[in-house]
Amino acid sequence: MGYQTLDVALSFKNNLTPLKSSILITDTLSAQGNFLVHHFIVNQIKADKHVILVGLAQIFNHYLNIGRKLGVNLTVASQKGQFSFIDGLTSLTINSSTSFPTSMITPLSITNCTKETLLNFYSVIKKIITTHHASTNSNVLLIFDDLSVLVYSGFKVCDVLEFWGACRVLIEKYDGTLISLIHADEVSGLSSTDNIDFDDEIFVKSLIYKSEYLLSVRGLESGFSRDVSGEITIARGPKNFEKWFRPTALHYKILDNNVQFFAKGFSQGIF
Amino acid sequence: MNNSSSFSSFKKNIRTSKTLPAARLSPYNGQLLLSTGVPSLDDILTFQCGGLPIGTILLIKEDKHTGYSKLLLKYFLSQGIASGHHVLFSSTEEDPSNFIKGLPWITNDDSNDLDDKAEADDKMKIAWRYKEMKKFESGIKTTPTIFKNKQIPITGSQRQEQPFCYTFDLTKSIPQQSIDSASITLVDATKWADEQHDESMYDKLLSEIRRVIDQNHFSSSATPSTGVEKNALRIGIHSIASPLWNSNSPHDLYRFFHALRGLLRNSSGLSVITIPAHLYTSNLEPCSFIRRIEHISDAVVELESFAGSSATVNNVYSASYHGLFHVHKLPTINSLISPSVKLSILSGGGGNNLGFKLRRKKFSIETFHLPPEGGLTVRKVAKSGVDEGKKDPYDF
Repeated sequence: MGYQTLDVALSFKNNLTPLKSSILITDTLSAQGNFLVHHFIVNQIKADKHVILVGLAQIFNHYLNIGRKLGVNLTVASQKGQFSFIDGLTSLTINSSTSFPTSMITPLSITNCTKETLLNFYSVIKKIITTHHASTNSNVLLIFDDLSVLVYSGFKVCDVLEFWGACRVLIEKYDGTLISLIHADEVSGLSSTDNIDFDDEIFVKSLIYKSEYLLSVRGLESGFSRDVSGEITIARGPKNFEKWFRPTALHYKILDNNVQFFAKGFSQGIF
Repeated sequence: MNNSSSFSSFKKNIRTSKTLPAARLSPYNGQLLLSTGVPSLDDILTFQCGGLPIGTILLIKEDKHTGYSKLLLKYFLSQGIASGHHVLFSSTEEDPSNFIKGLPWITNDDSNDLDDKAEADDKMKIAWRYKEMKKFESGIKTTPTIFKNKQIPITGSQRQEQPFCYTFDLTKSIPQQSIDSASITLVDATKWADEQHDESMYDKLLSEIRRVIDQNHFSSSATPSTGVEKNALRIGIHSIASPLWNSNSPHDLYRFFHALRGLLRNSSGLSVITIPAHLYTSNLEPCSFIRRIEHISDAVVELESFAGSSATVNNVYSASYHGLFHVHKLPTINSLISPSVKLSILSGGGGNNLGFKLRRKKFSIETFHLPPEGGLTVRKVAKSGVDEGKKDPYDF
């Protein structure tokens, strides 16, 4: 039970994310996809591989506490140089002089949402990868927890997409994997004068088009249920022709330190 | 919070809890909680006698045309002043000092729950067997005494025991001396509205909050100087993003929330913000501008009052409730899932519908259900047509 069921459904080799690929996690307000991010971090750390986590919506402590429940210690991992955290929540808006000790790197300031800021951000990520990996086949995992933050904060969608594309190229060069979490709620728009919705749609659709594996998390269509937290669809991206990969849809229920996955209609609470 | 050693997470939290007044350690995940002032809201957010975790933002989507969400904000601030927390309040609608003067205050008599008293006298006339069973309840009792004893004993603390959640009386208003003695920061955003500036009002408010956090050492990374006792900061913002707030771009508000979240995560503060979300949608569908803010908030609740609803409401509902209470998001800081899903009595894991009602003295949220068919009035058998000598038609 638990996360193993997801690993079986994903059928990734050695339970590690496929190399040279991008995994896109889309979620909604009623069903949040964070539990997938934590799972991929834990798997990667347990396999002694390097993780670079860009926390745009949460601070390091959050990942540390959940990691502890799931059986990995991220403090130890980061001391060993296995885990790098880029604090994008507190350091985004605070002047570099007053940075917090937990934040290791202060990559960008949100006050000027220009392309240069994202370029700096990219060079920070590149620096971490190049210093950690002299060889090119190092299997690094780069995670953006909530890439939507950048678009919502006012960066231009095309700039963010370009930034994401650059990271993707970098990851392919070093035989790694890129995981991005974005929000994809289905909401009705305001009037046509507002282009927020248009931005959102372009952003989500472009990333879907450019990713190999799509994990889409959403609440149940029938409404809330006590025994089922939501539904996850594991789907193939447009450019993915891997024969071993089987797209599936599962229901899941989040517990304190685990997540149960089961085939639709096979929740334990039903029987 | 420091994480110097890997195993002493429990110890670490005890140390922080000693430094904050009227805070409670969640037995569930070691999170520090502060009460919102409304026991039923505390229950929905975490568990009974729980509250809002420190370092989080609660977003309240306002009710249309009525002021119930403002009342929740008042409770939150009253609870802060009563517990001796630092309180920061900002509004564009009215003068913040007037708002503070209108806060409800602690009730003196414990026997204010007249309804419950009446119910206790109401002995069962039929079906006596059920008397022994647990009484059916749709609300949360305000009994600050129970959890006083349950509170984890803090060794070496000289501070006198404070109730975690006070009982407030809406008919009482806050005494002037309490306002004078409390540490309150009022950010009068009404003055900014007239001025023309390049800087948006959200940026101004943020720098104001940042100043308060720096000056009063609320930041967890600040070195605790001896003699200064750690306090909690409560930030209340009324009707953010209403037409009176001017900003340069739709991204300003999101940036404000994002920065505030970052600030609060590393400080002993928490905030409750109300937003008139209904102004941004033409129909009842959620719109993406508000949805973005909901994503960056830690908890999102919505009040939907019957009085402000365009749809006709059945008399059965409106007789016992003033509106519906929706929970969109629960605080899941440092954990995979909110303890509320398992422990909340009212929301029952999110499966229950919730309604709110406002009585003369208190506001409460209860599980929403239909009253028994025919109403709660005493049913009497009609006297006419009954034969003389028989008091009851069912008598032999």
